Amino acid sequence: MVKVEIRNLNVWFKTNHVLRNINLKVKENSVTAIMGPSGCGKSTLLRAINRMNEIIEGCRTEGEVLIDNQNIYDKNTNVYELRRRVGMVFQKPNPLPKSIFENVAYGVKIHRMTSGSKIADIVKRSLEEAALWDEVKDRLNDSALTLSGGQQQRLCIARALAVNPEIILLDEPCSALDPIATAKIEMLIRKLSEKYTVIIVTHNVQQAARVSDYAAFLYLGELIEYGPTRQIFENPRNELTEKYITGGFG
Amino acid sequence: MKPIMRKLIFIHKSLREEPIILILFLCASSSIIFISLMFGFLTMEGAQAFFTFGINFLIGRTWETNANLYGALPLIYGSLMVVSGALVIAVPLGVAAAIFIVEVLPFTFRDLVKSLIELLASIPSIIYGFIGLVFLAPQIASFFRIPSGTVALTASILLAMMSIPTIIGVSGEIISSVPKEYREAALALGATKLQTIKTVVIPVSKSGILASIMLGFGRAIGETVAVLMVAGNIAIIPEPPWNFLSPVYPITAVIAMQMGEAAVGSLEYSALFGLGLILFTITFIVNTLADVIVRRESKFKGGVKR
Repeated sequence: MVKVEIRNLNVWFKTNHVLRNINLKVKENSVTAIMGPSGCGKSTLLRAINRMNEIIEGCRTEGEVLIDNQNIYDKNTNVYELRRRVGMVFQKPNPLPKSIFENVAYGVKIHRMTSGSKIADIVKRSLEEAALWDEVKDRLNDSALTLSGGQQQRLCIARALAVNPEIILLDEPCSALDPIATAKIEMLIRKLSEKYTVIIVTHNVQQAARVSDYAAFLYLGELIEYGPTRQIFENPRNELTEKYITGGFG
Repeated sequence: MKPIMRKLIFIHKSLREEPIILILFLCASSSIIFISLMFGFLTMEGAQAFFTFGINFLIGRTWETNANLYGALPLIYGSLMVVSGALVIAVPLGVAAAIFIVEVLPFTFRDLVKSLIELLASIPSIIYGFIGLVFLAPQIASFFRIPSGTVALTASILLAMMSIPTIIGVSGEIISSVPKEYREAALALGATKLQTIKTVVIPVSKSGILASIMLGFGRAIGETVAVLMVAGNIAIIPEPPWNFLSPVYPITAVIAMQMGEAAVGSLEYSALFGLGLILFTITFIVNTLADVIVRRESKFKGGVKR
């Protein structure tokens, strides 16, 4: 089942042509990794899937992104509902300066999904899913900023899960974390793909090899190669891809 | 040989550093010294009034130069009244304008609007007084059908106009310093712009906005010339006390009007210094309160890592 289909996607920032004619199909309940050197447009591609590029002034998007065969760039798309369905986790953990509980409950309250004691249930379930519950269950009212970096990142994942998303976008989620925290997040990513469609941007080739089912290689705004991770790593078709995954440049 | 060299370098360094540290210490303590000196000076000069009238200097309702009777309550009340009126107008307008400029206005217009507001802040207060006297006061008189437009309301509106740029400037600065990551966090969860402002931007910048209000308060309560021109300058407590269409006589206006005529060392002279001390104390209390609130706020946020 194809969950996300990107068709002829072009993105400009002012006059800078960042993404060129991207075509990509993402399978449901899989982990898809987008690799590439810094500045190749990986994050822009990711942010095109929940229309987060729009908050940047001077951004222009052409082409289609279909989720369940619905073009999210249609005029009558509810972008707030879209962003509920497509959760996002950022490079730098960005918990809000509120309590741990309030962070996870934030989206639930924004979308008025439920109220009262049910919110507490959702918070608990989300924290469990993000493998954070045992560490924070006794201090839910503490500020989220007192958590360690890895915990903060898992909190951000829990926050995204709380609003019942279908797709999770992760933008280099481990680049600010130490190896142990990274390993935890990677394990979590594997587990999340049982229930969600996961798309992860990374410039760490080994990480892409470890966590993903499918991998895409982006270079200077163009999709160079895309396929099952195994094939990409064992038998890349493109010379650039091979160079990149063997550490030939960047 | 080596340890000796190291020691020499250390001594040399500390010799070079000591005078700098001393200079920095003096600079840092200068403001404290100035404040203590001012406080002492005002207390000394105002002592006579306090000794003569006792508590009645603060709660007496008659301020009558001819009778040599000085009770400052109407003046204190006048000051607080026009300033609170000004803040009631200026705070919502100023904060809303700051939010609009930072969050809504396209980037290209932002600088233009910002510099216009800064210009507004740099207009001399006598000009504001002028506008208040020849334009605002007659309008108010005719709108409310009162004989004279130089009343508390006019002073409040004028003070609001003068403190709005301060409030916009400072709170705008604070709002735009809210980390981009916080906004992204909210937007990526599907929050609308308005929800993001309400649930993230304002709570995060609350203490800074409060600080901007305090600065606006300071600007308003210390303002003299413009207030003097439009407040009506009659030393009474309005009847009823919330009647903004009554003339008042704020502390700053009294000092400015009477200082030139008061003989040095007279009771009047001392009473005016006493007024200065009261004004000083009010601003001191308000600033301290704001400081306490700001500090409590930031403590509540936990070990904020920025």
